[in-house]
Amino acid sequence: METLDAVQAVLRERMSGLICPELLGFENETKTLHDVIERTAAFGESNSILLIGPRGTGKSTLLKKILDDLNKDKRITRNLQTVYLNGLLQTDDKIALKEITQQLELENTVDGRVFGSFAENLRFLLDSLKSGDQLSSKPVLFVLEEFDLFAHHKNQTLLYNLFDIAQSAQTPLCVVGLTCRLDVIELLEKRVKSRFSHRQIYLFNKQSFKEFVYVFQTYLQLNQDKTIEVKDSKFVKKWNTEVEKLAKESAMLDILRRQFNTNKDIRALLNLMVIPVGRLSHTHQYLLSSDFIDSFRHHSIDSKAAILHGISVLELCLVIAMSHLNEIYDGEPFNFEMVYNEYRKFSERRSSMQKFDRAVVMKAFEHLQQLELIMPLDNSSVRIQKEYRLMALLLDKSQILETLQKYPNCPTEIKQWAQSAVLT
Amino acid sequence: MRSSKSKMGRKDVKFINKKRIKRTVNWLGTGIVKDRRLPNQFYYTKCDFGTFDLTVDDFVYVENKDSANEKDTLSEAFVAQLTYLYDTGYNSEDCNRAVVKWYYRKHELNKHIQKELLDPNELLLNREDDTSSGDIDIELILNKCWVEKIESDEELNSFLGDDLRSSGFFVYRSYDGHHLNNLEYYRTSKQHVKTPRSCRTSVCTPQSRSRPSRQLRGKSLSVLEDLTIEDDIITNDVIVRDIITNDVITRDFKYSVKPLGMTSKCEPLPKNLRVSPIKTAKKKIDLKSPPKSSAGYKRDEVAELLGDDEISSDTASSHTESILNVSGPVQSSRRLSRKSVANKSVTKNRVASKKTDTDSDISTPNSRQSSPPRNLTRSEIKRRAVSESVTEGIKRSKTVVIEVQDLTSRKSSRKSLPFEDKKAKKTKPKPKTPSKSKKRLPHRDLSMTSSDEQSDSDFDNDSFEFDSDDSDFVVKSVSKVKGSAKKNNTKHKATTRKGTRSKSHAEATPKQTKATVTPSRRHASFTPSMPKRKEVCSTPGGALEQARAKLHVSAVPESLPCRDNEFSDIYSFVESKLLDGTGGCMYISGVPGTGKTATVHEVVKCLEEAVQLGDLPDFKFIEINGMRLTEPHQAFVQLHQELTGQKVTSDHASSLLDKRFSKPAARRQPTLLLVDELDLLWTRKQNVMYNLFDWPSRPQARLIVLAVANTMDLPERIMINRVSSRLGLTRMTFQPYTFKQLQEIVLSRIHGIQAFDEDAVQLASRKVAAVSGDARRALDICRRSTEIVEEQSKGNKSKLLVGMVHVDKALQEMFSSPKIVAMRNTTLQEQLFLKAVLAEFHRSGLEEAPFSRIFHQHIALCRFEGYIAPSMSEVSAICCRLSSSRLLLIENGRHDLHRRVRLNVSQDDVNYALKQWKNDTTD
Repeated sequence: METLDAVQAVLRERMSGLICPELLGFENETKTLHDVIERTAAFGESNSILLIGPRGTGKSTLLKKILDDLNKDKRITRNLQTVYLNGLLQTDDKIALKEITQQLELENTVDGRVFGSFAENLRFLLDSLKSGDQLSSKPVLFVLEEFDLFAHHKNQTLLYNLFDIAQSAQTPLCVVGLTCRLDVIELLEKRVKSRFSHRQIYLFNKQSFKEFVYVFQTYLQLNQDKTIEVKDSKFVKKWNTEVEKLAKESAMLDILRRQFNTNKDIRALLNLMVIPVGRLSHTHQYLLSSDFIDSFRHHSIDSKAAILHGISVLELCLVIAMSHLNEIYDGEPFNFEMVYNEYRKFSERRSSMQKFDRAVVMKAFEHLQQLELIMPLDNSSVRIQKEYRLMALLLDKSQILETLQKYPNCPTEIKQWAQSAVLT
Repeated sequence: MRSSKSKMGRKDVKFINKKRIKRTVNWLGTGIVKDRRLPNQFYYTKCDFGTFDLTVDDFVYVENKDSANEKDTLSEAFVAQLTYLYDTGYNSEDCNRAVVKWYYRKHELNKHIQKELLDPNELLLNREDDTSSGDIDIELILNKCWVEKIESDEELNSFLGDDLRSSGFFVYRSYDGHHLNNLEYYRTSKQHVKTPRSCRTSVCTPQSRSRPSRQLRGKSLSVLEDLTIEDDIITNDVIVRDIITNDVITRDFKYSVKPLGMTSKCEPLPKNLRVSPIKTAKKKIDLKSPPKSSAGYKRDEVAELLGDDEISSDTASSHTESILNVSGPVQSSRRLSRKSVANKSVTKNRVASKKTDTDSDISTPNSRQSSPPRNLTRSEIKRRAVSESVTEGIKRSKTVVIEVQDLTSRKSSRKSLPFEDKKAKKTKPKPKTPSKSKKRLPHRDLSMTSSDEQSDSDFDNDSFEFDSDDSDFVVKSVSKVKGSAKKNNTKHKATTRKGTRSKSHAEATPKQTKATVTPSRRHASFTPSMPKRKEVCSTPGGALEQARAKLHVSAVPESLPCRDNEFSDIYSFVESKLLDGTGGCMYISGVPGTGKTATVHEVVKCLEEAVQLGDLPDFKFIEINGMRLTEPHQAFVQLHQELTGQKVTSDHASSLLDKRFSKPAARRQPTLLLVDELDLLWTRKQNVMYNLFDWPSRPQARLIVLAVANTMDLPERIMINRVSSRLGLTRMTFQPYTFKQLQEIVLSRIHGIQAFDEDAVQLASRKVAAVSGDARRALDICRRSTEIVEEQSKGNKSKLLVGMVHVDKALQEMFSSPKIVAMRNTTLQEQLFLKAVLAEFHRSGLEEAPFSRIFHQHIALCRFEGYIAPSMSEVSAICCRLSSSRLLLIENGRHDLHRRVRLNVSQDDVNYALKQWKNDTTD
């Protein structure tokens, strides 16, 4: 079944996010940004612009699409240099400057490495940019991803200088910042803010559920003209009708609706599709809604409840004791002695339970701390005997009760204890 | 060449420093009172100034205190001609004064004038400066210098056409700041000015010698005659002569050859004794040089050769000893200098001996010798010392001369590279072609050639053709020695090559490596530049595009509207300081975008125009921006680099600048310093700001500081008292633009372009004036409006006008908060979470709630609204997403359930947005 393998490969590639999906909407935004960049390339007009939108709305995709589009025009490709910076990679101005120098291939780059001190590099870069002018220099497009992180650099030197150059008759610059913070303008220092042109493009995920389902469908359907890898057109047809059917199934729509309600990010949708696509095999040739239900459950699982499934009965007892303490003292922190006391009371009351030594209980307590189900409140630097260290429980009562329902071979006493009202 | 210069320079500095205490001015002749009101002010025509005399009309080097090159003071010193010498009559430190006429050296001139110069050594008479700046303290005079005055074109042509002319200065034209003029009407007394030709022809007549040479000759005589003279003075004298690199002085030595020879003949022994007592010398050799060292060999050879020639006298042996001593490793600087004195004379001696050649032939060795003597590496000194005794030997015993000469030759053959030997030999017969190797190693010429002559059988004896009647004998004996020398030569090459050779390598190679430094480290060598665009930049076509180009903040208008008062205040402040020759500070404040920096730049532009017209003295404008510095102390580095072009560390720059601004200096150019974004220069100690404001108050600094920052009360707020006191009270505040001013600014830019509705501009400027008064904002809004018009017209190009609607849309884009839109576009669960937050706030009455409680609220809401409740992990993810776009503010993730959540939007906004949404969905 080579065809199936090919289909799987194509879909996997799509899931990985390497291939840009078609963006829905954003026509106006695209045009605005396109025009701005085009004018920089053609007229040498300096600009600064911010693309703002929550994560996963397609800011980078939009920019990439526009650049791909512009690069088709030779006039622009040859007249535009692009510098990519990412706030997560260039964590301070020093690194950012080196990166810029390197990408611009200025004269002080030797074999792709930049020497010299920070001050020298800054001076050189500024002088270089100053040496250019509007008409004869090659415009530079600066793409700053995670723009908000650049605003945390010391004095915002880089941003100040970029915006300042963009506001003066030097080398034409187009500074495009991408960020998910809506209040990014407030992060800018007043002088930097004044120099920023205040063009902002907001991108919001405006998809309706219908569009969401459509996106889901197009991601899974095979395109007959373009996918060269899949030659069996019969299979492709069959596959596409199956996907269409799937997208109309009510169980499937239910899952999609839930996904849509929590997160309409495309990336999350792709993640949801990864497991079903991976499950395709000879015996399981088409995607089924049950696969997606599994996958969704997998994604929406409560991680802490999952951890609770794996702990020992003693540890479970301790967790219950802690939750009781929480109820008694209204969320006040507790220490080991309190928990141990609670546990002892329980074990004495229910004689059928196995009793553990204090040391063993202590060990179990420490294990819970390692699992980060409980958290010490004070600083570790303060030396307090560990029995008396104040702790907080990082579990909600509902999570504990939920776990007990599923816990294998859970003694009924414990269940009862957990569900019992504390103050009786 | 370079290194030799700097080496020289260091000595030079030492000399000057030492001299500064010692040098005194003794007036010669009788003083004349020129002004009756100042009866104590005597004018003189001549004075004795330490090591040299000064006479009116002499050319002198005047110290450039602002020179960055500490090591080489002469290369950046000013050149001036003395017009008057006078004593103020007050008993102050600077009572001895000189009035000078300045000359421009190449490095002082602008680039475009530099291109006009015929030669790097051309000077231009300065016709700009008023006489007051020509009144200097005599102490500032470093030395005398030689300047040829050329008065006619023919002279110039012959002068320039003369390849053999020296490296000395010449002056042909004057410069008044605008034009170059010939000097034709400017005549000077013939006494000092000699054309090179006349100098050359007057070789033997002492009467026609130029002044400085006579004087120096006198000194050199005195050195050699009076051996009990203090060492310091000797050293000084020697260095003085080393400093003077030009031809004249060298030529002077040539003249002084004969008397020198006489003196050394008269008193040969005392000198030798002083140089080295024989016994200690022997000891030194035994101790410090292993038996196979060159010194040891030399001794043997000398003895051997002495035996061959059957000549052994006390004088001869003592000579050899002295040679050996000199070549020993321990040499005090005193001895060094003394050697070089003697050595000099030797050189001249040789030169004189060669004078049997044609006129032109003489001068070439001269020019070759002129600079290298400064290149005093240890090995060279050794050789010189040897050659010194050679000459002395000539005078006394002929055979010793030969021995030593032979010795020298062998030594040098070891030291010099073979190809250099050949080159030297090839070029020797044709001295007119200047060869680089010769210039670098001129001192070796003599010895090299002799070694060549020994290895080659054909003997070119013209280099040994001495003027004296001994010459024949010398030549003969050299050829006699030839055979044995050859043997020894090869032996030495095998054994002692390592030590001496590596030395000479080390001497020669670093220069080359320095010249071709690998580019990776030397940033100064890079020229900052940007790649050029491939295609021609399109020019804006339509009215809207033109307007857009004009409205760009970078488009500099011809004049800045609306800042006339501020402009004239700053202008008059700077102008008055420039005219007074004093310094001062001014503090300029104003919110961003009110035209502070632009106004200052405009002022500078106007001042520069005034300078061009000659109304103001020339000044240097330097701009420092706190935002462009990596840290505050870099301000010093940048300032220093702008002033001198040198890169130094910040501490060093600070001390250098402090030195510069605290000392008075001749002809200091006023500096106008713009310190932008002053608040960023704040440091804990505030030393950066302190210095920047302290320097202008120094009397001779001539520094004007314009400090620019945003806040009006910055001096009071962040500066400690001593800093804010120095900043002074000359302050200016740029008020935010009013809407009328903004309107004017916009209209002045788009003047003549039919693109804007009058009301539209008014709307934009009113909106901006109400918020910030930032001109940049107003321009950006108008620019954006033009784009909106274009977008909306969709290709319909006919008669587009920016109206109120478009400006309003642009304003909406820029100023509206996106938060409500953002909330409306969140997912259902996210909105539920926001509601849960509100509910929890409502319940607790606080504006902050722990995540766990909000989670409970969220679950409850879900149940209430009939949705499937999400898990804790999902809710946590929702919370994080909302906080990443900053609708919520949450604590650090490690607190997990207990982290506190706050809203970053007002509760009303949330209610409004979510209610709206509900209506939308139900519809």
